[in-house]
Amino acid sequence: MTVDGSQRDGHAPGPPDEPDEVAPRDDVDDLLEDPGVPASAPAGDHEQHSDDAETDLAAQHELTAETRAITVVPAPRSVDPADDGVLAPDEAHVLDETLAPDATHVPDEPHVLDGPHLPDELHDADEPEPAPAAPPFGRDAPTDVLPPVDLGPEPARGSLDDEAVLTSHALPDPLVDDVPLDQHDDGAAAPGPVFFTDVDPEPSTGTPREALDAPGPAGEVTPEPDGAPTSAPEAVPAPTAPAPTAPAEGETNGWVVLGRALRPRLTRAQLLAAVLCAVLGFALVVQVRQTGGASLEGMRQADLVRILDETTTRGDALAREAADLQRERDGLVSGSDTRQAAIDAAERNAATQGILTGRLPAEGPGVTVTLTEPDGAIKPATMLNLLEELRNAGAEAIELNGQRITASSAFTGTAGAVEVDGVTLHAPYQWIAIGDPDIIGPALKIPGGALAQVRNNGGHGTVDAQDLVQVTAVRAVPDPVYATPVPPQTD
Amino acid sequence: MIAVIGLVVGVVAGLLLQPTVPVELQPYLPIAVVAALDALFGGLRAMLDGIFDDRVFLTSFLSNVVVAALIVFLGDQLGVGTQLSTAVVVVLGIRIFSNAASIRRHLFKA
Repeated sequence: MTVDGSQRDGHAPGPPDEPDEVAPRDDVDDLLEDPGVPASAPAGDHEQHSDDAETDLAAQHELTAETRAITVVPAPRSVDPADDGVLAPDEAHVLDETLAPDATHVPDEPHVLDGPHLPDELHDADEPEPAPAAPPFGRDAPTDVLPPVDLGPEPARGSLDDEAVLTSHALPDPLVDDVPLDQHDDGAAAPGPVFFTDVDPEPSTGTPREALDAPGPAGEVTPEPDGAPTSAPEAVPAPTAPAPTAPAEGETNGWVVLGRALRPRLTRAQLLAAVLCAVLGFALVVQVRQTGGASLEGMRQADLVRILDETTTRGDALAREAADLQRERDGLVSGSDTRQAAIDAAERNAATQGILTGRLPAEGPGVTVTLTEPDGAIKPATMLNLLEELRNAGAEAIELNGQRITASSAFTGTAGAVEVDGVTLHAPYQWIAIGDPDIIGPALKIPGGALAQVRNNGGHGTVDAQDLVQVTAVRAVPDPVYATPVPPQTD
Repeated sequence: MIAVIGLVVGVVAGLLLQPTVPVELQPYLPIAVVAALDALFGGLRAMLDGIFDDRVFLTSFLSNVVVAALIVFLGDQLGVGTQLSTAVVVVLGIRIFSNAASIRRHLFKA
């Protein structure tokens, strides 16, 4: 046995440890899930093996110089959890995360994968005494362990050699470190605790709970001198039987465990979980409602002050912008007013001049003068005289037989064939003049006036005052060729 | 199942009672809720790992809530309440995610 151990050295710890994880996990599962049921089984195993191990121990106690070295090693480990206290949970979780595959498939290859992660810690702690650290496990383990291992499903594992050794070494360290942290931190201990719990029960012969409660000292110190060797051999038988089954269970267990947990049972754990979940749901809803409601109520004073500052600043900026926009609007409004006024003036001017020059048709109160030639002919001079009389009376727009009469109109021709601007007119002559009828009418009828002259020519004229007459004839006004407006005088 | 029922009961109670949160507790309630969620996920993971323990669950639930609220309270006193709240939420979020990942592996093997 010892010979085997010395030969095997580091190799041994690998296999025994791994199975340890697996086997105890199931045990713990049962213990915690269905307290009472399978608890006895593992305990019995452990005790039996511990007996064997003790006999071995007795024989090997001389070798414990090296085992002491191990006990020294764990010391820093036990310190770790304590030191890290606060940080530990995170680290533990990170490790768990990376190790997670192990948690589910402990005995599988993932160990090899874990090697790279974990060896670092291993080296930190163990490197000073790598040789001594390994042997104690190795001696014990191989002595008792190896034979069963070979028989069992584990031979392949044993042949993994270096990698297996590394991983196996590596695993225990981080796991042991993690265990207490995880356990206390979460209640969601990962693979670590399982491992741990298994180790503990043997020396203490207690339930896994003890290990959980007093992870640091109980787990590491006690087993080392006495228990460490024992644990290794114990682990061996476990792997043979449960190792193969463990992965299978792990594969299928997720939903089974969930379903079993969902089964309504009035256990303390279930009730406790229900109460806590109720509290959580209550708080959740309250908080959601709170958040949905007044968002400012729950804010801190500093935040409120900051928000107030931001709001004030924003308000000021908006006020300035509003003032700018108001000024701009005023400017535009006044500008448009001016422009509109100019346009209006121009339009009025254009209308006035259009009417005066005969460019635009016009309407308004006025008179219509009808001249007939019953016995004689009206001379052009008579027509011109009548036109002058109309103008004197204030006529603004004048039309004669469809011809617009303007300032430049000229009467030519002979009596009976009067021409206006080159167009010959025939009796009766129809004058339309827009102006004040009360002024134009009498002005034409005054004795010796325009109508009297018409009568002298042998014609006859009537004046008809109307409220609304229309001068529809227009005349194209040629642009002035020689005359240009005089530039406005500044003085 | 009882836990789920408890959750539903809590939600319904919250909806029906419509309590108002005291002003002093308002900054801490959301953090506490997140911490409780973390504990809940941790408990679920532990259950799937087969190491669920009601005592640990209760302890972690309460201590998570208290510690989270305490950190925020301390941050408020130090004038960094907002930042510490963010930090706590980030840390708890990471934990929730890692726990959820573990649960996922248990249930879906992926």
